[in-house]
Amino acid sequence: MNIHLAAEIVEDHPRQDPDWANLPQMDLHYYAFVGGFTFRVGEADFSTTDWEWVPQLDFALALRGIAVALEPGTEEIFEFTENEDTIRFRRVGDQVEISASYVDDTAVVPHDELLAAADAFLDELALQLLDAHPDLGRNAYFRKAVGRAES
Amino acid sequence: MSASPDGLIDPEAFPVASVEIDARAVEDAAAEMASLGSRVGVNAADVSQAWRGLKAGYLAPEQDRVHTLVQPAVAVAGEVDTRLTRGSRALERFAEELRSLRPRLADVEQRARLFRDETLRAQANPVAVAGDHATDWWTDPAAVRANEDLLHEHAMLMRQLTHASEECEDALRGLCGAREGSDRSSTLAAHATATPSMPARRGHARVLPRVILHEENPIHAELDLLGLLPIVGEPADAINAVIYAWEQDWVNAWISMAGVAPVVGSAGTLARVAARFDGASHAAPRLSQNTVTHIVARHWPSAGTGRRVSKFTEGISLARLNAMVASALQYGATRPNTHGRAGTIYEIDFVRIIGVNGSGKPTSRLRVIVDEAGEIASAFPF
Repeated sequence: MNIHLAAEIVEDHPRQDPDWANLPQMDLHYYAFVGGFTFRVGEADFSTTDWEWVPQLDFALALRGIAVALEPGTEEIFEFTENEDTIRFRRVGDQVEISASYVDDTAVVPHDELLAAADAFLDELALQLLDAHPDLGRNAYFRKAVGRAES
Repeated sequence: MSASPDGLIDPEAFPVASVEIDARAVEDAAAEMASLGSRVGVNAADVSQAWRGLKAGYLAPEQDRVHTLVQPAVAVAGEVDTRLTRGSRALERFAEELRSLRPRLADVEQRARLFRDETLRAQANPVAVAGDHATDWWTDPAAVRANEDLLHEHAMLMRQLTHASEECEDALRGLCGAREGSDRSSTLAAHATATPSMPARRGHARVLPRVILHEENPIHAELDLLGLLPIVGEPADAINAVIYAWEQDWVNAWISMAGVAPVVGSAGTLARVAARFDGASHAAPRLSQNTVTHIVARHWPSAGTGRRVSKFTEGISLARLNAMVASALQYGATRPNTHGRAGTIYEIDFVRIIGVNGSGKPTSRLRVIVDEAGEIASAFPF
């Protein structure tokens, strides 16, 4: 596979021992599991490993949503939660062009490959989070958002 | 401009339309301001008591200063009451002017529309209307005179409206200790720059002042800290809302009102600001203690978080943040949140620098994220 995705979490949540089962949707998207991700496509590197504040579950959910939504001729933009940076995904035929506001790199990857990588990344992250915080399995939003990853 | 490029009067180009003048809304706001002032006076003693029990539970970067300053702030409450009553009277006078101006402006609009239609028709069809001579309207002395009379009449009304608006503005500026009329021109200039980015709902915006960041008043700088109050309860909330408004936002909100902006029609301007602090309203977005903690930890000048995170400029205070967020919610452009994130994004350009963005470049723009329940999730320069 040409795509390498990995999450590095530096803080699970700003509060100690939050109620994972009832943590609100916005907490999961904005405050929980922050850190940086590795996102390399061939030689292009869109990683944010030293940013330390990017919510990883949010990124994984968004990336899968983007991969699913990309139809030929369309563009989807990932917006970071705490600054103006973006990652652009533009589908041309079966290929997806990727670029980001914070690096000069660009990449082109088959759409099915991006979709598979995004799925696997979310699955792996969700299982990792469930291992660390089993109560997340009772969180209605988490269960719904990660979909098939919950089992 | 009140005319088309050829000089013919054009009601569509009037900077203020009669339908936009809402004296009733100004009256309501005046009543609301008076009522809030009275609440402040009544509740001042309760605030003092509430703060005494806070020392154990109140956590914020400026907590020591806040605790020290509470009593002087409470003492100021009586003065706030007096000043708000004075402001309320200024608004009542302004409302009276508006009531008188609206029908006269409507009349000029109607006559101008009629005159313009007839003039253009005559120009387009000279045989039917003006005999055998094809004429441009400006070659007809009668038409030119009628046009000048209408333009003059309209200009007089606008002068009267501007005068009433400025008187009200001066009175309101006087409430917070600013020199009367001191920075009206800079406000207008800054606003003119900001206007193009404002949503279309602002109507005829180009000559009307808008909310921009208001310079903090050094005399009352200590009171800004009372913007930290979301946990104290109803009595303190009332004072907080008043002081917040007095220092940071309402002055500009009233100035917008004085400019007869459509925002006057939303009676919620005052209630919205106040309601955000009393927790009673689910319609008004709220800055919770958690969100404040998040923003301070992530976006404060002192925040030590990692790379490419945007930060506010030195000198930011929580009260100032409140004011900026309130302005963004009232006037910012909105769009749905993206990719599975619930809620709405509000974005506004304050014209002057409020921080640096993720690239480290100075920026005047603020983004506020509000979830579906009205909780503010984050706010940062971008």
